[in-house]
Amino acid sequence: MKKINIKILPLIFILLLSLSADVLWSQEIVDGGTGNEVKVILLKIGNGIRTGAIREFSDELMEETYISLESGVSAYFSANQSFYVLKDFFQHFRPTGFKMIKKSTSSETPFAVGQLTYNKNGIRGESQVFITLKLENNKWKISQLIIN
Amino acid sequence: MFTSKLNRAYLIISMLALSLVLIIRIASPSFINSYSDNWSNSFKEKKLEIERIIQARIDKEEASLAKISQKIKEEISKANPVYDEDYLELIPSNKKISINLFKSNRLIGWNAKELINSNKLTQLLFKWGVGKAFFYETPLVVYLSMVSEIDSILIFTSIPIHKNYFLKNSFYQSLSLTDALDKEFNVSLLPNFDMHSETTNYLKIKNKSGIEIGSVSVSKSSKETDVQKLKDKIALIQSILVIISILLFLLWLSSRKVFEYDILKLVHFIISAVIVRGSFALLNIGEYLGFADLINPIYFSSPFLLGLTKSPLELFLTVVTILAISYKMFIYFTERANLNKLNNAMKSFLGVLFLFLLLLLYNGFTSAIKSIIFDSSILYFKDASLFSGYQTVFMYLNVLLIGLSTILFSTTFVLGFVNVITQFIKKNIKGVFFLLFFVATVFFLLDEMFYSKSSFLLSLVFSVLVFGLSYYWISIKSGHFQKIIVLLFSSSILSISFLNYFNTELETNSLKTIANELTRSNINLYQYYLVNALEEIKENIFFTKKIKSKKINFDAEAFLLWTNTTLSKEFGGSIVNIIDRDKNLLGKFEYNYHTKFSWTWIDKINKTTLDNLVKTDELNKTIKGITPIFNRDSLVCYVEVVVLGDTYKLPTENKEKLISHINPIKKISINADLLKVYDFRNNKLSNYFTNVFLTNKEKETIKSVPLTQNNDRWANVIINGERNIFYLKKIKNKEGDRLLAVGLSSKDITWNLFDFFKVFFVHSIMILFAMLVYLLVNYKKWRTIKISFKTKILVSLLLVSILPLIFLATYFKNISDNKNKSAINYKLGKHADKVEEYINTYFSTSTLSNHDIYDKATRDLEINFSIYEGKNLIYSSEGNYYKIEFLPLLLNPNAYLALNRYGMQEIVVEESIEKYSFNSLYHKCSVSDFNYIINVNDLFNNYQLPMTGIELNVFLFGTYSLAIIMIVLLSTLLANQISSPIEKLTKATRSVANGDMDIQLQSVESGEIKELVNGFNLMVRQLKKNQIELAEVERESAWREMAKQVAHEIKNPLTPMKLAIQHLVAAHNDKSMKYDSIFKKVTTTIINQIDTLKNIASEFSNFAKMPSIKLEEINIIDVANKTADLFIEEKCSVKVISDKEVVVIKSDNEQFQRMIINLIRNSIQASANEIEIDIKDNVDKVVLLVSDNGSGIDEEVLPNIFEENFTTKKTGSGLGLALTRRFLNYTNGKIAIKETSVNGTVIKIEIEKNV
Repeated sequence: MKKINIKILPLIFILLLSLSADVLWSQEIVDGGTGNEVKVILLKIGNGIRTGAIREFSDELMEETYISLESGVSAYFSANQSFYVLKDFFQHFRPTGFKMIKKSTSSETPFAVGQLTYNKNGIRGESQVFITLKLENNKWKISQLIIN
Repeated sequence: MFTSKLNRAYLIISMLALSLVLIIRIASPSFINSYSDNWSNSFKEKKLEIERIIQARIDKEEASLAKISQKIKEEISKANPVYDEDYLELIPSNKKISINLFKSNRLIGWNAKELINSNKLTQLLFKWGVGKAFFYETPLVVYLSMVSEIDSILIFTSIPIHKNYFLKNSFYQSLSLTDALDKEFNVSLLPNFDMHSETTNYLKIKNKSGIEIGSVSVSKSSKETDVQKLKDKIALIQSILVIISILLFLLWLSSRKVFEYDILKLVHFIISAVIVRGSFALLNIGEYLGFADLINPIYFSSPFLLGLTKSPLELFLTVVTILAISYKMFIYFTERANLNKLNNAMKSFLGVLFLFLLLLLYNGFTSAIKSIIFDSSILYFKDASLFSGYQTVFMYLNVLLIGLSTILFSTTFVLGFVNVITQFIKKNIKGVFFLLFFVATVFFLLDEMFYSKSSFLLSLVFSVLVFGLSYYWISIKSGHFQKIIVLLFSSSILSISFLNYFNTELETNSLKTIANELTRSNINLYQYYLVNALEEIKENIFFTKKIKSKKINFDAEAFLLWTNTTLSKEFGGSIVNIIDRDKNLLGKFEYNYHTKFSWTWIDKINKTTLDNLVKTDELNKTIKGITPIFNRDSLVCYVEVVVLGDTYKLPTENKEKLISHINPIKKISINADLLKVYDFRNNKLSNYFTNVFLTNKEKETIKSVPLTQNNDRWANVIINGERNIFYLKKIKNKEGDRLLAVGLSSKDITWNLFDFFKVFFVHSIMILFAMLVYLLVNYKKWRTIKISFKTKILVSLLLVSILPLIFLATYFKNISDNKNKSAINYKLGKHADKVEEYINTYFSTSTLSNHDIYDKATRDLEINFSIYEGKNLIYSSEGNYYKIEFLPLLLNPNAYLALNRYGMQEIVVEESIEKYSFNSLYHKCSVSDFNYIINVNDLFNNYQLPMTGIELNVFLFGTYSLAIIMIVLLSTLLANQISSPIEKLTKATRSVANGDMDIQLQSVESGEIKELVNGFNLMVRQLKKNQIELAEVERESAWREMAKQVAHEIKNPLTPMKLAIQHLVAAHNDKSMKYDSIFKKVTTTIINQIDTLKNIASEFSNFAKMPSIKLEEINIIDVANKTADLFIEEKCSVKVISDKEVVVIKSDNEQFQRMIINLIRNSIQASANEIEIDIKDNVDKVVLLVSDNGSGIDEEVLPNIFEENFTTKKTGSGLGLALTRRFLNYTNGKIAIKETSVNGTVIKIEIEKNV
């Protein structure tokens, strides 16, 4: 009988660990309800708005997302278009800070309210942010993003 | 020489630009530091400039006020009016300036609103005096005003300067003293229209008398921001220089020897184009060039190609780059590439590659057009107007260019595909085309079956169009200009067909978006809005300042507060109440909701502080909130905000359109009028937005549709026997289940010609414009343009048919406009009659107050109207607008004069508010000594017309452009048919003149034309026969003459020779002593005579040589092209290929042309239908490769083909190739058969440049 190469063992261990993490994580979503998934999305949105990096949460946008912005824009945009609409907004309203004021992750219509501080042409400003999520193909997605 | 100098210049400038970048890089830190140190000074300069601009505007407006005041004064002194109406009539109509005339404290003249009362006017006159401008503030608008006086008449003129409110809808007309300057100078300006400014950092505004009338405070941006902006500008300059450097370097590189091969040139071009496009992507050029809307992603943005399509402008730049590449590839593959040279394996690979690329292109094209529709907020088909914003027109241009590049690419691939396959299948070109069309279509259909990119029908349209155009391109002998027009129109048709298809997909998808919109709002959102609104109201410093005065219009202030909050962006009902410290209502603004103010709910909460107090009333589905307003720590008033949930209204029902925010449903491609929305709550139909009622069975059908896990579903439902597509969505909340069904009749989603022609018309204008530009750019060639017979026929046919059509369209439009106007007036009149009848009846029979009767009439008749007594408004169904001073409280002056002075009973006038124009009917009534005027308009009453003016325009443009296109097509066909035989004859005559006697025309026509063609053919045959006979006779006669001459010339030396020999014989016989000397003399004579004979022989030999050659410098590409043109009517395509436009050699022009004719004629006689003359200009010689796809030359005869009198043809002379070789020998050239097979022959001709 051939000896098992000892170098393979750590690899198998890592593989098993990652698999078990996956199983645990998926259980948490299924069993623990929608809370964690929603929390993760809201965290992504928070980070994205704070830094103006839309890519952080652009994958979480619904096929048609309602976007209403301080700049006057308010309409439904495709996920493709939303990316650049938001990117364009944050280029003019450069975020300097963002904090979540209120979060509801357990209800049927999860939402969050936040406060954004920005710099527009060297002048500081403040906006309230409202986000709602909806189920789309069994995944929570951003259905509405209002920055006023 | 010049070219090489220019190329060197490219490199030098490129290097210079790069050096400049380095210099800027080194110098910029000190420059930035210096700017930073002097920032305060530059800011002062900026302020002075802003002050100058504002003052210039005020001065200009003041001059306008003075001018119009003077005009009115002159009119009054001239007319000497007596009655009030006389004054009213003197007021000039001016849409910009408001005029009020006062006489003895009475308003006697106005042209719009009553802006001021007499008391206030007297105060202002006392304060400012006559003829001096000042700011006059009304709640919503600030004016620059002036008081003038003539006799006892006070003239108050005002120009609006600044609006205190902002609305985001399509009717709002913005007006600001400072907004444009904010953006231009990157500052924050705040106008103050008080005489004395309180701020320290302000700019004074003065009237022409030098009195300060207002000020503008300036909040400067930070030094860091300005420095950063400067850094950005420097970076931009550096980027531009780098791009210039790259461009010039690429230009220099393209002239290098390394790009001798066409394929390398093509690759170089593609790489250069990609680099240039990539460089432009680094610059946000639209922003710097002032194309703010074209770089706005809301009009179009897609992450496709790593952001190279993120805005309409970026998409345009990318499409232009792709178009340039597609054009180059098209040219390369249709004119330059010689795929015959490739081996079979390579050909097979290319064949598969071309088919694969064609499929890939189809997928790319469908994705691009789909993205244009789905990733854009532009409603390409919904908006009825033809030019609905330049962003839309710009996107139409992008769509056309995408279509054009697709057509160019696909034609390239199809022709490449056909070219390669023709090498394997020996069939005629039509057969190959049909076979490949069939194969490609199968692949397109399979692609559709598996990936569903568009539809089977559209994939078939794509295939037919692409193969049809490719065949057209190579088989039709029309000019390039005509072919380009065909390509452009085909691109338009292709792209619009797909655009229209995806639009129907979007329309269907919109049902889901509408369902989302109708369920978007919930209690959380309303709470967010309410808290936000209270915060914004509390921080509104203008309101706090104004609220100190008791004499302000509190309703208007409530409206202003509302417009400044986020509530104005939503469509649910909302109310803003302003309440005094004693809890009395001072003013209110109600939007889509009405309820009486009550303090009770606040008392019930019993809180000591009312700061942002919020209460949700779930029973009434309202959320209320209140906040106290303080001024320097003292309570001034309270503001209560009420938000009503669940009051969503579709845009068609919205009477508040003038003040409503743009509704998201308005921005959806579907027409909300056609929607069917049913709202089931707990299994019962509780609400609906449609006039189509459901039967119980239909209700059950909708409710019984099984939903997916997401609680939604697409379903087809038959309602009233009509098929409808529905999106069903179920929502579960505390109140139970809610099922929302949003649907549309299938016939309203289907593709229609009307939409198609709207875009096609815009594309046609673009194409015509492009053609016009092309003609203007090439104006130098106009002189050489001869108006052909065909053009004359075409122009005549077009004139005869289009002129009456245009006349008819104009006439029809006038009639329809008048009919529409009459229809509106009729409906307004009918409604006014109904209101009059209702009011008069209730006045005489009811005990209700007048106001209650009017309200009842509004509710019962469902008509919105206004009532005037004299010139003053006493009631309006839409009182909100009048209370907030949005609409004038005075009767329209024209209506007043018509009804009161000229005794008219009724008048319709066109009025406007903001950018909205409407028809307003004024109807004079009277009941029991009460005289009043009813006003009904189509601003507050929605009248459906069968076809609105804009729709009619589109319809007319659409149908008539279709008619014009049909006429152009038919006229072109007819003109072609008439002129084509004549053109053929002209060209054939030219060929005959050039010595081609083998030409014979084919004719399918009948009648005179056939006789003419037959006559021509007979004539050419006869000419040829005569030429041969004549040549025979001439040859015979020449031989006879020559024989005679030869005999004569030979005889001449023979006689002296004979005599000399006889003399020598006699001397010999006589044994003469002088025999030796005689012998010497005789032999000398004989030798001389023999020399004479030799000379005679040489001269005859010279005489029999080729005709003399006239050497001159000729451009052989030009000669070859002209020769190829002679064969344009033959069933064979003759193509001249060269990478140069001019190749000059020393040769005989006429004989060179004859040589080419000989070679082409030989190929045609060997059944070739494609001949290529490839001309290469090498350093010391020119190489011509004449290749054909004929039947080739038999190996047996190959060694003899250049011999004289050798021919394989029945009627050949056997001289053609022999003469060609002989001609080439004379001009240092040689000819050889490079290759020959059953697939064709390649003849190689080499001509030395040094003859």
